[in-house]
Amino acid sequence: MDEYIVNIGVETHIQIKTRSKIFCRCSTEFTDEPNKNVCPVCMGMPGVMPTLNFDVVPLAVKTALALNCEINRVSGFARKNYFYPDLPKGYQITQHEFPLAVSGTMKLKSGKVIRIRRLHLEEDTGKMIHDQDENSLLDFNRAGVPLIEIVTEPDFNSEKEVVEYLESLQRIVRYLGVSTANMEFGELRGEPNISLRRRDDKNLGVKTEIKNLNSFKSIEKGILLEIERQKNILLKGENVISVTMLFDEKKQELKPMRKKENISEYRYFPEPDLPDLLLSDEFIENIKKDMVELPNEKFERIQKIYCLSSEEAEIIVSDKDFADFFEKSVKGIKNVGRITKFFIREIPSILKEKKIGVKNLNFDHNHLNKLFKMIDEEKINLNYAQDILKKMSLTGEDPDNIIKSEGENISLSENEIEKMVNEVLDENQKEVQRYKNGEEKLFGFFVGQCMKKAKNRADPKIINEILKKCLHDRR
Amino acid sequence: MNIDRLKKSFETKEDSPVKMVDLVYEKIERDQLNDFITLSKNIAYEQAYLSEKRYEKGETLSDLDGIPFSLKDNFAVKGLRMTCGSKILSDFVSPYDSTVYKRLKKAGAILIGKNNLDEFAMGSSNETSYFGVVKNPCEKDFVPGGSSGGSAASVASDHSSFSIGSDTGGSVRQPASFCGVVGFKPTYGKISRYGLVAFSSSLDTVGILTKNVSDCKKVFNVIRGVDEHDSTVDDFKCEKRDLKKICYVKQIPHADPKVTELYEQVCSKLETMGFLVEPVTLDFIDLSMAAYKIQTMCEASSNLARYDGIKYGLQKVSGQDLFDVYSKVRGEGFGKEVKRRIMTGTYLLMYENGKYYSLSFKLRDYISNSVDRIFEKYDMMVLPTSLSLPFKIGERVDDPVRMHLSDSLTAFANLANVPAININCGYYQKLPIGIQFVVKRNDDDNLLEWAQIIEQEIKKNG
Repeated sequence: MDEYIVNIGVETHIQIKTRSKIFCRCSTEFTDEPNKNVCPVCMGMPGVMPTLNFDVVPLAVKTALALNCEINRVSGFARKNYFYPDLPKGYQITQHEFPLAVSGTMKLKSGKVIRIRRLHLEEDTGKMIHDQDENSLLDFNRAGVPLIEIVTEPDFNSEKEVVEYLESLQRIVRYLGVSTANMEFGELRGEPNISLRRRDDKNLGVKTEIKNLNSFKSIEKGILLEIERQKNILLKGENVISVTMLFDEKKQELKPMRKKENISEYRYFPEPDLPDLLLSDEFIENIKKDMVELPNEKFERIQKIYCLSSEEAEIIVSDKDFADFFEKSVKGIKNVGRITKFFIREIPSILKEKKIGVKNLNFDHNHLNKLFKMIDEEKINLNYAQDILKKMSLTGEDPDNIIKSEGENISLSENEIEKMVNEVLDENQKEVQRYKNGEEKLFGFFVGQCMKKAKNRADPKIINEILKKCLHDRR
Repeated sequence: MNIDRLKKSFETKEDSPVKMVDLVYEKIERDQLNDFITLSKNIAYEQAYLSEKRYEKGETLSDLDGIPFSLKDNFAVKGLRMTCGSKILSDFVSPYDSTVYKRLKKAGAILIGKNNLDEFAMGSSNETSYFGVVKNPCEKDFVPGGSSGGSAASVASDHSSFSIGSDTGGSVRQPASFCGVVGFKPTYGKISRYGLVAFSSSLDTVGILTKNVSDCKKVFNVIRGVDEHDSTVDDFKCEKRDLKKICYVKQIPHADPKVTELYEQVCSKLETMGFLVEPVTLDFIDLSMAAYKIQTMCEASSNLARYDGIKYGLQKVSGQDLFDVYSKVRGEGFGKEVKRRIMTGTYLLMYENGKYYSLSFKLRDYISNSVDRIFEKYDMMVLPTSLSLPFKIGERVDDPVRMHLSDSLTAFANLANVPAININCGYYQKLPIGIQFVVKRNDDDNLLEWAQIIEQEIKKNG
């Protein structure tokens, strides 16, 4: 139906979580105070020199390995020259001719493979902010924060594929402990470049790039808008020009930013102040040995051994800590299927409400494991377990203690239920009278009162039956 | 102001660091050479008092304790102005110390001030400085050479016992030759460049200017060695050897006959000293000038990009837009020669993706290999440092091509990363003539040993 094919390539910048910046010893910690984490080196003072913070290397190598890249044993730094106030030296130190890694891949759920062209190290720039009086303010806290840039081939054909890729990438770097990769803080920045070509045209069309996409939603929206814009141009028989488009989050629209620089205008050349980066086979092997299980590997394993649906497995592996928590909590549980829903609904909703991660929960996996064992052994029903979980999340108490503190047994016997029902009826004689007089809808009220008293220790079905019997007896 | 003699006079209380600082500042005032851009009197007196106390207690820190020195004004000293001889940095105060300064301070040496220089070390006569030309102490109408012109003049006129300069293509050796002092350019990577304002990062070396070779050794041993702030420095030393074979160049095109005459005398003296002295031909001198110019201009265009008036330095608040602000700051802030090199370098890096810059590395490899081959056969090479005698102030200002020729016998040592030293070997009337001794890479300590022997022999004979 569509006469155009969309080709999208993605450049992604990810801030690496090291304690200090890539070429000096300033802290990388986020701070609201402008220009707090700066020194002569990252400010580009006259006479300073960069020295590589080697902590960035294993993190970048890990990422490259996770993306099936070839790691270059010799890579080098280069200068990308351009003028902008947020660029302290008038050039950015990056890797150009000799990147850290090349030729990687990532498989999408559909089975389609996205080729990764290169992965390299570079430094972040500062930030320019415009205040209400039209002053331009500069903050160099971010200048020199280590970045990895990952560049794909133009293998994506839709915005959905791009989002899936970026979500996977985010999960991978989080699993590896490489980055917190929060898009809203700019820790992961995806910049798609988009071109359209006729179905019968083998060559790619002129591409444009979109910047300032701070969420997956914006990525999706931005790409859709740009495809639409280019299509309209092409349908009119005009040519697309190579520009950088800026996404306006508020207005949900694209604005052209600048004509894209020709590569020679960046005047790349090798950084003379930094020696080549040499990596031994041994160094890379050691990193390989230390690699954690990657999200897709975990997904497959967890789905298989716990018999989960792919949706369930997807939710559980979405976060490494969460997945670990799941596995520890279900240790020794026979019927995992019964309690999985706790990880799909209850626990995520607690985390969401409190805006925390599993590590900050009031209870740990041992407590949860106890609770699940009670369910497994049918000592408590699921409703009651939910109640206990809620209490656990509030008080951090051991589930045993919660049950004990309520001073009652886990499940009420039928006799006990009958006794309780009679108590309820005795306490509500007026209503019993009205019921007898034909107001049958009061039955629900009695059930409610009984349930309240039973505190989930009785099956509502049994309560129903006994209540019916007792009311019948009183007629 | 020989270091040994000065130190002895402090030890015997015949003289004191504080008295000496008084005398130095008096002499600087009296001589009016314009060899300093900034005098660091507060630092100097503080350091002198502390040094004096150490001498009283007999607890001196090093061979350089109490010794007055100066820094070319492209080295950073915290709290002091660092102008690089440029209008664009004329009010810039450094927030940090260069490694070289830190080490000298720790050794107890006394900083007298910051020496005048060609703007951003680009020049061979000290005439491109925003702060005016330096007078040659030997003959005041003449240039002191450059770019470390202030450094050479201050050492020659006892304004400091030694000065730290920078040598990218001859900027320490040539002024040393013009002012009649010792100028040493070590192997690239022997002394940290941290805090030396970059001109051409792959060629810049920290150099030392002294009255004699023995002093040079002392200073070198204090400031050399690995530095956490500069990853291009190593501690590599080569084995001690005896000097046996020396090579020289028979015919040097464009050389002043007075220079050639002295050069030939030195070569025969070396022969009489018992060394084997043989002629070689150098086919790479012209190539070295091309490679040198391309590399330095390309790298300078990038190194000087940070002077945009945004964070520090000359500022212009008004402008139609950002580009206009940049143009105003850089247009007014940089001098003619600096702008010429930035523009040429920018063009060269853009043209066909930096084809010429890549090519210059090939030339550099060729030159390196040629030099290596010579040192497979010979221990040392002798050459004039400069083709000409010091020239008159203003004589070559409008002749950039001839001015650029000044580096032609020195730049190859930077391109090949080999050490070289200038020693004064004589005079034509009052004008000094220096000869350059070059050895293989990392042979710095041998060079200094051998240069000392030759220096003594030359001095003996007058």
